[in-house]
Amino acid sequence: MTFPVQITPDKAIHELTEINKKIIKGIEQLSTIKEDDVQVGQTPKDVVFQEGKLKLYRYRPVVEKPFKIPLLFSYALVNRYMVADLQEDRTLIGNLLKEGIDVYLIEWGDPTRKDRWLTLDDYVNDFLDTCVDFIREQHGLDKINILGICQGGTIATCYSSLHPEKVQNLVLTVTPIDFHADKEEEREDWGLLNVWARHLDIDLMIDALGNPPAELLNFSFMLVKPMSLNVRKYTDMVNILDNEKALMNFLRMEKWLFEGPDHPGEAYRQFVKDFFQGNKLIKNEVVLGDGVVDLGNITMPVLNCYANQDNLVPPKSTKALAKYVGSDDYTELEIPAGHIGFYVSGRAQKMLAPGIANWLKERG
Amino acid sequence: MDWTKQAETMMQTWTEAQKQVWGNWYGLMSSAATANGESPFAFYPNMMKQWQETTMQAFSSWTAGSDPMAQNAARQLVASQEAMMRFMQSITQAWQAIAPKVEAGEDWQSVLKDYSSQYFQTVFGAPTGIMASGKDMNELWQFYMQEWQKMSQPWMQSWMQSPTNLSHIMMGGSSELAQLSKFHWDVYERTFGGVTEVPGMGYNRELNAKLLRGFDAWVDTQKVSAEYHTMLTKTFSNAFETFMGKLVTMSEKGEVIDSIQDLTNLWFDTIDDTFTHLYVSEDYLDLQNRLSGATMINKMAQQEVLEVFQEMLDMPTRSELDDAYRSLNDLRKEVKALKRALKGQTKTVAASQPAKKTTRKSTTSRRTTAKKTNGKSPEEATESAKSES
Repeated sequence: MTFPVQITPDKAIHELTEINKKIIKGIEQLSTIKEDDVQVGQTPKDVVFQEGKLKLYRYRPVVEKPFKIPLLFSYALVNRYMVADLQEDRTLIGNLLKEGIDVYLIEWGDPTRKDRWLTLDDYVNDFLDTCVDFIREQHGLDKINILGICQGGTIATCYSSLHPEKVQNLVLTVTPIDFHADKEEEREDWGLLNVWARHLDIDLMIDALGNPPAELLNFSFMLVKPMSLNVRKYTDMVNILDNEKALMNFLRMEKWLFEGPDHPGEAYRQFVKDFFQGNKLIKNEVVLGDGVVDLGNITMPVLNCYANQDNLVPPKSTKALAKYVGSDDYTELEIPAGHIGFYVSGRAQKMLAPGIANWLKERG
Repeated sequence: MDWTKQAETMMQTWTEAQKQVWGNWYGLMSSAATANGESPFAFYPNMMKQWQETTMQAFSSWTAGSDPMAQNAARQLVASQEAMMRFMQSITQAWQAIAPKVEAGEDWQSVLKDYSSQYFQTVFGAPTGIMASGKDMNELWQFYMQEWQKMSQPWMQSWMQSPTNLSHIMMGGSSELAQLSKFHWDVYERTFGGVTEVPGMGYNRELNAKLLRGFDAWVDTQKVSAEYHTMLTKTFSNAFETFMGKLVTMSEKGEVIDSIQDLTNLWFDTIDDTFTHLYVSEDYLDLQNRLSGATMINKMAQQEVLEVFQEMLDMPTRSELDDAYRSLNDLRKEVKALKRALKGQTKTVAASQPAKKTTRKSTTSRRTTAKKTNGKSPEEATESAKSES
């Protein structure tokens, strides 16, 4: 019987020597890189509106006459918007600008303990609505386009249902809609966050912590694939240590991953209870302020973009919108990527922004 | 000091050490093919010792005088190489243990299970750490107080000195409680007691109760943490069994792995798959929920005790601040709703006065706290905001 591990001494030494060389070269590279060298979200933009911690940015157009209806980005309350603008050659926002889209983006601001009482109602009916009104007023328009990212897409969906008269077109990217759709997935590792959230005593967590810290949220994401995301990523890093460009890409992604804000407590409580546990969005039972979110109210054109390898927001969770939305003009755009690769992979760069821009322009 | 040059010297030493190690390993595995070779259990400790001595010697000369980042990176490098060597050691030993059984067509899985279970117990250590010393409540109490001591000196000194049998207190003993109170009272008298008028025993009763509740919560957390640790250790052990099973299957098919990277990737994939399977099991979900719950209850119990001290020092407590923040938030919403209503009324009035022609741009009055850019074109608004910033 032969032991299948046939690593000859020569091969092992060669492999290890190569690794050691790369590590030493990499350490040399790393020692010259300063924190300030690793920058994300660098596409030029200006703050055009500010209220408390909330900032509304307008990206500087790069074409002479941008598309007449601006597009407002609604980002999630987890992590930061920079994943849509990671670096010059990996930027959904930059690519949309090149396509002639006039882009606005909301930065919600980092919540502190003071903000633990903010609810989803505040984010949807106050903050997002305020920004939409501002842009409408600035452009003299009744309606604008909205693009939601992940949880920010769920927020945008609720908003579009409650304020359809202000939304011209709705674009969703990797957005959870049916929070129990993971049960229909064949792969066990798709939708693990949904499974965990369904079993969580969220009341106890929010009562004890106030705002769930970013580290805790990150830990949950990392736990999904403990070796791939905590160990293998760094052993694979050896292969790019001697490549300055690849190393900088890696460091930018690390910066984005580990510099997220805490999540406002009451908003998180409601998100877990009503969405993850109660799956109320597809049942038209989510109550925000005085309004009930009815997906049938979403009658404007909808472009629903999803990642076909998304293990965090499984495709079925996103695509479920087709069953419940009131719009007659509903389109899906499939991107061959995972949840993060959706925004930063080379293939996504070529498909996503042109796909969104063309779809918007076709609808005027 | 040019530590990269030194690194080259280290590389040479290192390579020599590895050559020797891998040469020995390969020789051993060749003889292991018939399961009659030298026992790896005797061989490996010497091999690892030799490897460690050589690399650490090289490491010292490499990093002497270099900057901390380089030292740290070099340390990581040695650690990762050592982890890899240990991993190779573990699979070699396991193979040595099961190969004869596989060849004889006997039950090799149970041999592997024993090996794996023992190995990972050694790797991860006893899961019960503090709890193992437990059952002796006094000792647990001392651990608990050590946690508190970091936050609350000199107040908790009195509790640290407690000679009491806490389990007796929790079962209703009174003399020990009185003793605890006395220690507390002594410190209180020495510090704040002289200047504040607090009903002594009443206050003590409150603190004692909170402290005991905190102790309960802390013990619960330790227990559930130990359970969680045990489950993770068992899962690693299961992953290792699956991994070795894959090697057996490969051997039966005549397949080989000939690179370290392929081998470690197979191991990593196996771990991820095994954990995924664990994550969706009811046992795991129940334990994860209990661990999260126990941790949160412990945190709240800590806060309760801390608030006693904060109140004593006339400091605002977390609960008071949360209340204040809640009021502020309610007020903020109220003000905003009023502004919206006012804006609606302004619009209605404007609409009822046809002589005064207004546009939507000019009617905004609701965001008094916001930076206003109304009445300007988007470009003007941008320019204005830029100049402001």
